[in-house]
Amino acid sequence: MDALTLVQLLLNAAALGAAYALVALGFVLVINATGAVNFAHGDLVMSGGFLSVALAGALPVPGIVLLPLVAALMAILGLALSAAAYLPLRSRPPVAVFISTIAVGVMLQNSANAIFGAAPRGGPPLAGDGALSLGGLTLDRQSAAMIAAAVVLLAATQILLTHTQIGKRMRATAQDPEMARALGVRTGRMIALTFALAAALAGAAGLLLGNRYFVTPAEGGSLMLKAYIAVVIGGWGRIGGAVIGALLIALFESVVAAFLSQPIAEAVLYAVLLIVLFVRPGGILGEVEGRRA
Amino acid sequence: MSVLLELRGVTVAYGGVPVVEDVSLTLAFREVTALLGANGAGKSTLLKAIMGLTPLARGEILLHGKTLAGMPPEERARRGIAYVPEGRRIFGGMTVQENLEVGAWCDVATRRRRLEETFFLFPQLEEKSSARAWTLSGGQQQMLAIGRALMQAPALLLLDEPFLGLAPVLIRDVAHQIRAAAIGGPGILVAEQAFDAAAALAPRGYAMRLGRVTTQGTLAELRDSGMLAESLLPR
Amino acid sequence: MSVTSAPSQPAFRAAHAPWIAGAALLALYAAFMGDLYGLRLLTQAGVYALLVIGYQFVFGHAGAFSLAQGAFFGLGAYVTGILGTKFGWGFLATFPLSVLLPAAFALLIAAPVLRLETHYFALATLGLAQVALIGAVNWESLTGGANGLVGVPRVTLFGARLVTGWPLLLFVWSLVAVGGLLAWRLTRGMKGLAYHTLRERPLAAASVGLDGGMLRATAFVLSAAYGGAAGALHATTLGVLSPEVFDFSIMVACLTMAVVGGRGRIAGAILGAVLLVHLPEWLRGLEQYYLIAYGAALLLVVILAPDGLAGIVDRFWRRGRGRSETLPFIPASTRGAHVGGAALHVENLAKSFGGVAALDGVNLRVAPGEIVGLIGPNGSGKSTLANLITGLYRPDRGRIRLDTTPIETLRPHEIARLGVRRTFQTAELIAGASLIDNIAVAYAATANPSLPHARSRALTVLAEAGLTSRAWEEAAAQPAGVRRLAEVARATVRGPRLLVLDEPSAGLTEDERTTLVRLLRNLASKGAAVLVIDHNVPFLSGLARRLVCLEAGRVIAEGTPGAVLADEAVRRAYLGTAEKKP
Repeated sequence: MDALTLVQLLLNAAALGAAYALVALGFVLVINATGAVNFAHGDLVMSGGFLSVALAGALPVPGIVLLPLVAALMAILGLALSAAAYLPLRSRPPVAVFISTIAVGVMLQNSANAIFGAAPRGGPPLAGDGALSLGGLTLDRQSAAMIAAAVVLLAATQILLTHTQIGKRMRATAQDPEMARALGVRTGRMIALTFALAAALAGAAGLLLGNRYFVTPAEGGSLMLKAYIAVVIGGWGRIGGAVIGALLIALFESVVAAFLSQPIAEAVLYAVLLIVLFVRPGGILGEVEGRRA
Repeated sequence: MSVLLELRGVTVAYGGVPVVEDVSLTLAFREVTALLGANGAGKSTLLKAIMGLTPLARGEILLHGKTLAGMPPEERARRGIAYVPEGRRIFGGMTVQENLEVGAWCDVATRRRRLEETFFLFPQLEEKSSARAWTLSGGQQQMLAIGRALMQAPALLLLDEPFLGLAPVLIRDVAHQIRAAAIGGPGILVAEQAFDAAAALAPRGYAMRLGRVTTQGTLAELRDSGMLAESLLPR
Repeated sequence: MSVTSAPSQPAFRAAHAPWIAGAALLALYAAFMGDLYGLRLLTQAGVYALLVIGYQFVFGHAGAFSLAQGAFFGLGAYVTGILGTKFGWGFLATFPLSVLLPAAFALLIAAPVLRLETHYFALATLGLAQVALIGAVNWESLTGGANGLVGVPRVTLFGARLVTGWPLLLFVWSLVAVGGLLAWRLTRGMKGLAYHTLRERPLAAASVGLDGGMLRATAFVLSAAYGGAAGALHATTLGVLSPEVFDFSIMVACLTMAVVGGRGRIAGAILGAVLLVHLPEWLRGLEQYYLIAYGAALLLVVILAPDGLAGIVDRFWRRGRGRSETLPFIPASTRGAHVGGAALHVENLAKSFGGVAALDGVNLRVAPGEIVGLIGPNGSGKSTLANLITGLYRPDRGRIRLDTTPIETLRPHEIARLGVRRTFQTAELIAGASLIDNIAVAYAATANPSLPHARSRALTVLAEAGLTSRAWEEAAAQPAGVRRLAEVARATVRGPRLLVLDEPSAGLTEDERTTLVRLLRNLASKGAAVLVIDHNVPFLSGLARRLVCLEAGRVIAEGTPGAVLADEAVRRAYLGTAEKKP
């Protein structure tokens, strides 16, 4: 393999990783806020993908214009998810939330199946076709737009969480809900908002992925698993770690798939995950805070 | 003096066992009062009950003469009660300034002003304002917890053993800062098991033993009554 | 020694009546639904019932959220499918292998997987399932790839091929009956209580000597065996096989059946399987939307009926029904009990948490027959010491010996099996079980007595604690003092050699405190070493001949109660520096 091909490969990995990072970010935000895993998270990505397919059919505009609309509608879905599958189970063990989110995932997947059918559908391109050619290296507009859109969304989320009062209160709720309440924070609303933000990011990722990788109703499970693995690699509860984990997964998938095949890349990824868990039960980087005595 | 906080026959029970039993007390505006008692006397539980973090089995708590019954902690906080828990419970993953801002329920200009006031009171916090809170020393964390509560501009400040685990030299600093915060500020109810520390803050107090208030008065009266030693010492 | 009086007889038949009636209804339904399609559905329900009965071991009893049950199902299906189509083996030859291979695989991965915490365990099992699915699709030479395998051999029994209809249905449901009975035998009585304790109070389980790792691994392997059996039946009843058997939707169906039917319940597994296999038929009007209704049903049950349908039946059927029974008279025996006491030696023990020293070079000795009281301000390291002695923490340095046996590296249940018992700050009793069963499970943890035998021993120690009249009452409904005394009784049911109590007097009435003192003195008189952590100094002074005071992780005073309480360092620790003596 020459250097040019390698650089091309890395560019593609970056585009894929940018979308995975959005998926993992939403996933880890919900883990932090609730202490439970949202098994429907992959199905939220899938829903965002189909939503953009449907909207693109109705509105002939580029995907980048649809992005805010998809994110907003998905945020509403996120609110509904928290109201149906999390808030009634707040005082129950995390397993109850695992099951309830699996149930919601089943509902989303089969709704998509009933409406759109099981066949893969292509989402709208973000900014039209075409490619920039640079000395034998091609950066197609879709990849460039994916990376740009994801960077903007990651930055916006970062600003929301660190520079707004609502963001600070969401993080305070995630770290110590009782103390947050004693400071006047309405934690139930903060958790619902976290679900909304997570769903909006997942929907955006669905839109970004939809054009190149297509959307199928059954893809949610493997997307959720990748987000899960990203969190394990990055360290349970670490937001930055999850983003880095997502980028590593995309890199791994792109490179291994280039040499071998997509299914083998996926199988090896899971095998690596299992080995990591066996050797380091606390994740590679360890959990975000040590246990209190 | 008009009454800020009133407790009438407050009883708190865990699993049917009363931990706080039939406690009545009053606190005037801007008054600083100590709750003295040994381990397990029920001081922390009483503060939690006032904050709304643990339910009452019996009795009533009034702020500004209005009952707090059924009101969740977040609403109590917005009505002017601030709480500095035992063990501080700062948000370790957030910066010092972010910790301070969480509980500031006001417009941007007021928040900036309060931040300046807090940094004036706790200069060490200003130096560390963008550091993650878990990197602070124990004393700085305690200052952060107190500062975070003051950012709410509370009418009532509940302090649970603010000196626990602090070196003597730091105890002096923190006590000084609490006294400074009390000037023209909130009424303060401070739980302490060390007499000296309580005496450094409050002119009067209540002694608690096994969930009940055994005696009250100025700290000098408490010390001389003999009841205090009984409340504090294992015997 | 007393024999219990029984308010009412055990109602075996009465308690099981709804389930027997349900089974009869199911048989009638099958008899009258007679068309081939109806029978095929019921056969399929039987396959799922077996799968879910197995899943109840790991999910219901061990309380581990496994997502690998679908993978074991697929593994069992492919073992039968591959051996049958490639090598021409008959079903009766492949079936045992379909059971054994998944079980062996589960045994292989049990140790590393089961020590993971909830979310990681779920992820690891899901990852395994995903690898299995990818393997089934891509290893075409063996599995036939996405096309799968056709011509899986049918069951041949007494020369007859069971392809469809009644014979196949009866064959499958006979296996369900055998599997159900076996599962019932494996999880009833003391075994079920042991799992109940492990699930609800893992700390208490270890503290009475239950080996949680072994129990969980057993459940995991059994689940896999049942899953494999169900998979083999699935392959042979359909005659064809595709990678869909590894699909996550099978796992979701299994989970849904277990949750809807009732977690941990065999009847619930069967109920859930029959109901959810037929649900699509009843919801046929919804066409492709029925799976959405399926998800909604799962969500509603999780929120509204956490104990599932079996829980609802129980609630209506057993309302107000007494559950006590007459116990045989069993004389006090020392069989299985620890005899005499042991000396506890703690030497130079240290433990830090995140750089903060909780214990910093503690030396302590408790002789057989001696009661020692441990006092100290909040955060002085008292509970840390109890947790180190009983193995919940590992020390950073220092030694703990029981007589001459070093125990600082042993696990909690191993230490318990040496005769060390403890109580907790908040009484760790299991809800949903009577006081007597809470104690019987501790008696049975290290041996295998019958349920009546264990209960009889439990009743003896309850009587000593003055709790005979409450023995059959639900543990969680008891006042705090009773729960605490019952926990002490549980700690004494096997005659401990060393007993460590963490704040036993909190929340006790004066009478209960007197009982506690009597119980502990009695134990000490039999030779047990007793270490009591408490804040109530009058109580400790009356109980212990020697007090030890900890502050900031160090022993600051030690001696008779009078001497320790008069000690200047002790007074400083509690009062602060400048307090004038009154």
